[in-house]
Amino acid sequence: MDFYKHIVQKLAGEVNAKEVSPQQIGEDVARRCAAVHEKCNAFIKFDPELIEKGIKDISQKIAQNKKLPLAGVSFGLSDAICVGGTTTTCASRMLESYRPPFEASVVLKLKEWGAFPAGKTNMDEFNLGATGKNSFFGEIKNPWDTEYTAGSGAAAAVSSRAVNFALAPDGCGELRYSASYCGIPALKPTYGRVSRKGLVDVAPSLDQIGIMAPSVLDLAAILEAISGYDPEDPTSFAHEVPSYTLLLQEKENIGPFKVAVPENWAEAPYLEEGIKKAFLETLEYLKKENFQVQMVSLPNFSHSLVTAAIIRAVEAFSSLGNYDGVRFGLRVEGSHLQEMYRKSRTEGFGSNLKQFLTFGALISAGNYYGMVFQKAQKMRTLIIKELESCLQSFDLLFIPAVPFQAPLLSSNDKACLLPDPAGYYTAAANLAGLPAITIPVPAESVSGSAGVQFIGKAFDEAKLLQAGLLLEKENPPRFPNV
Amino acid sequence: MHEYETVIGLEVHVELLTDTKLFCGCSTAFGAEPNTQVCPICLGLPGGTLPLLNKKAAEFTIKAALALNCEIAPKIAFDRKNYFYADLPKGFQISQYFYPMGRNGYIEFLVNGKTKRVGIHQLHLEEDTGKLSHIGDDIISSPSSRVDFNRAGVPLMEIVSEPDIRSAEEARLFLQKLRSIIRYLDISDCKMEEGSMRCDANISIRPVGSTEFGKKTELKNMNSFRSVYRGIEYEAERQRSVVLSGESVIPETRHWDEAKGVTRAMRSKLVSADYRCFPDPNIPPYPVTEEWIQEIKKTIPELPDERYKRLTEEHDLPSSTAEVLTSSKELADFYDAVLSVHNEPKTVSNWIVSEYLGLLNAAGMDITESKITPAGLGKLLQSIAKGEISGKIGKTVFEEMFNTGEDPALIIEKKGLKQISDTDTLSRIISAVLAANPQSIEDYRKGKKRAMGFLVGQIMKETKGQANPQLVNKLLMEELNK
Amino acid sequence: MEISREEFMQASWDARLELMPEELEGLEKQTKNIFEQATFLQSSALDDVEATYFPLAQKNTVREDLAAPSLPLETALSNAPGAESPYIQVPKIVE
Ligand SMILES: [Zn+2]
Repeated sequence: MDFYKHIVQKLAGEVNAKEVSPQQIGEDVARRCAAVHEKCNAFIKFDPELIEKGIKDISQKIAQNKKLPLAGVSFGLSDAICVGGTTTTCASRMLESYRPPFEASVVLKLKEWGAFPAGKTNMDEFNLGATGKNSFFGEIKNPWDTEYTAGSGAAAAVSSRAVNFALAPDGCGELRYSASYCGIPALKPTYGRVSRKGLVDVAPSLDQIGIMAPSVLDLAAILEAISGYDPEDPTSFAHEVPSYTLLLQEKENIGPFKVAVPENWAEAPYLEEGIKKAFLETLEYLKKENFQVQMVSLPNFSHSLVTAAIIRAVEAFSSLGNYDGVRFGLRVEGSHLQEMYRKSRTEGFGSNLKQFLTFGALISAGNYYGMVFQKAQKMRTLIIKELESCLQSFDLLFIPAVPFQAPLLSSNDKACLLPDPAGYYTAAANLAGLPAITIPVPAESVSGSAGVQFIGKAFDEAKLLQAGLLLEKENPPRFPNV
Repeated sequence: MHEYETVIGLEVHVELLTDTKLFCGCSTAFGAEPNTQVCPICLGLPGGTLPLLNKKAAEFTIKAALALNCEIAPKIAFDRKNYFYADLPKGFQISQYFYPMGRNGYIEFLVNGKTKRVGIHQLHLEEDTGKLSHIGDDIISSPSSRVDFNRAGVPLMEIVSEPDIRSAEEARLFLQKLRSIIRYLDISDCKMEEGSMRCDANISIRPVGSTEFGKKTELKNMNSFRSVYRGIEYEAERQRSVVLSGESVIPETRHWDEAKGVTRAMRSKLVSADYRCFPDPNIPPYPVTEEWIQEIKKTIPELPDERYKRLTEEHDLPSSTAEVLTSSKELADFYDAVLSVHNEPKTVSNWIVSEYLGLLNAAGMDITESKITPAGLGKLLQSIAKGEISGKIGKTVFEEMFNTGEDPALIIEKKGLKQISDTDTLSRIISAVLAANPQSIEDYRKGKKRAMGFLVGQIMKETKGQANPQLVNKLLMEELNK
Repeated sequence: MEISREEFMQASWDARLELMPEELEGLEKQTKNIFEQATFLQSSALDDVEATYFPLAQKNTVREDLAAPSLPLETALSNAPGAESPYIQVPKIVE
């Protein structure tokens, strides 16, 4: 199949024209999901009932001759995003049996357009990092080689083509770098572009729902579907949503762009040679395509990882205060209220999460509030200003997606949260709320690719997609066999 | 030995009279079945907690801040106050820590005829908590408790006074004035017994003349105006005896025990020391424009102070009467409404203060529960003025109106209470009474003026009190002086 | 920035968490690590910078005071481990 054509639109066309039956799609998706789950542990649990239910809904609509822009399109949904009829666990023991009595706005929109959720994908507990090792529901393996991490079940499911795309949260880059571990493109939209209603809060000022898909055109089609103002999300924006797919078809709109590269980009800890080489080659390619590439000084960019970790820890400490064993979630009885809280949280949360939350409690207390937390929020101001002024003179910022290839599951080298070295290149976009796209380019690595990343101006997703498409055409996506 | 003075600052919470909660559409109605006015937002369910600000709650708070002469914050911003407690669904309370809606205001009231001004340190908007009920006697001995979250998220306004209050009596007067202003604004019903108005007091003592503050205790659990008075009185006295015995006051939270009439220290562990307040990342600021403030200003009615001025200066009422009438908006509105029927301020105010309030007090009723209408009282006073009934009969009619809610004319008619002003009828009765009491005529003519009174009494008895007293006097005199 | 064992213990209590000795050590190591990297914390250049709490120039919206349906009681309690309809039970408040 010609993958950099529009998969989801093609599929929807066939379903609407009744060339392919939803039942057939359902069986197909269930079979592929079961396989990738068995191989990679991509889902919290594989639940064919969710697929059956989705197919039933679509079949009814198709039978009524409704034309749905995403008819029959399957998606993986990170288990931090709420959907009806099943649990939302955030890969935590704490929420093992939590069934939200509501659905995320993005899910409602996608269902309305004819897409259906095929499964809740696995992740590190509460999306803190993407080591693939911190899920209560087991390690997440890379479909290219199961010795390595996939980062997230969403990335494993999409790159294995078990689902047509996936939605997952991006707090410091987890969406983007786990997609890069598996060799697929990913897009984190501008903060407020896509509603967070139904996404479990961890660090609300950093978190965004993003998209992973097999191709840039698919990213565009899904972004178009899920973007827009949501009265139920007070941080969402009312900016108009352009037709991203149309913008990608108009060839004359694409590039060449002015691209900035931070001059110290290669200073990232753990930066691997393979990644470096792939990035430099891509840079050359961009120049060849008449992109104006310029090295710029962004002295505070290198602080973004630590800054984001500090802010995230404090916001998470507060946002996870509702996990107390009273209204939902795990409860471990204690002789009195505060003991019940402590026992429930201690047994419900994993080790890394507990350390992270304690760190958040520490740096927001007493004098540390001003010395650490507030200082980080001030550094955030500088980072935002720096990026904004850079993007006034340039269309895009170009950097790698992640300093290294997917780590071995057996190694603990880079499995740290304070800070998480994998987020070195991605955290800045979360701090500044800017959109970012990552694209796999050929490299010597477990997935045969490395992720490179464009960061754009707020609400300028179109340019990111256009630049991404250009890279994709030169480097057609490859997928592992499952 | 030093004389000591008491220094008091009050923290008053009032529940706002909005239809829905501060951040969700759940009803605020009192008395519903437990946990039936809750939703994912006010229960703090993961994925469903994005807060949606109620405009009316914001307007009410700005209105109160203006009425209390505060400076208004340039934006509505909310912060998280983090702590764990059973009645708190999210692990944090959304409150206004950095930008209270109002600052630096004041309230004035009369103490022994002199105007006292108490500063308002700040006024802010926050969420109420759920309600705990304890199995067994009280919180301390209870083996377990039960939570109802219906109240969780109801808009609560907190008013923090400066430590300008010097006695339990001043505290009571301050609270009364505050309640009166808030009721005039119609933004809360301020019922201490139902918990829609709550008051905590910070109490310390210091030698008279000292400008430093002593160690303070925070007194909680005062559920009526009376208990505020008694609690403060007791606590100030307790502190005096502690200091006089050479010890020092321990800064702590104390509970007022209404039944035993004492204050008791609460275990300090229940009170968290560090709330780690920080701006809620899910609630961006909302601007407060000058136009909006002006619009809200227009909705503020004549407040007690202005009304008092009008009643004493324009209506020439004695200050004590004006104070009683303006103490409640309902009463003052009632007074104004009666005046529009019967424009005699003195008569109307006397009737309200002595007759009406007397009946209300005896029945233990509030003016809002009464069947008396302003038009009804107005008509009654007109009948008296026109001489249709005597003032004395008027009181009987008024009682009947109070009990049945019937129109005065109807009562007069039905009970045949109309005054007898017909000269022929009265002359006939007078002749009969004189014929039956020759001794009294004798006495009167000998100069015993008291006999006159006896005869009038006999005539009134014969007419069941309906004889026009002026006319009886006139006719009787004529008869006796013949 | 030196942080004492007591401060870590207090923070873990404040987060209502109990850390195993090895978790506590791990946290101490990570904290040391992040503070070493966070060189800007010592910088006085940040003193006059305003803190940013919202990534973009976010402006809140307001909602009219109109009632929306609440959850049915069974649904509201369906996830609660201590549900005792119509209440939710919690253990004794005072130690
Ligand atoms: Zn609610």
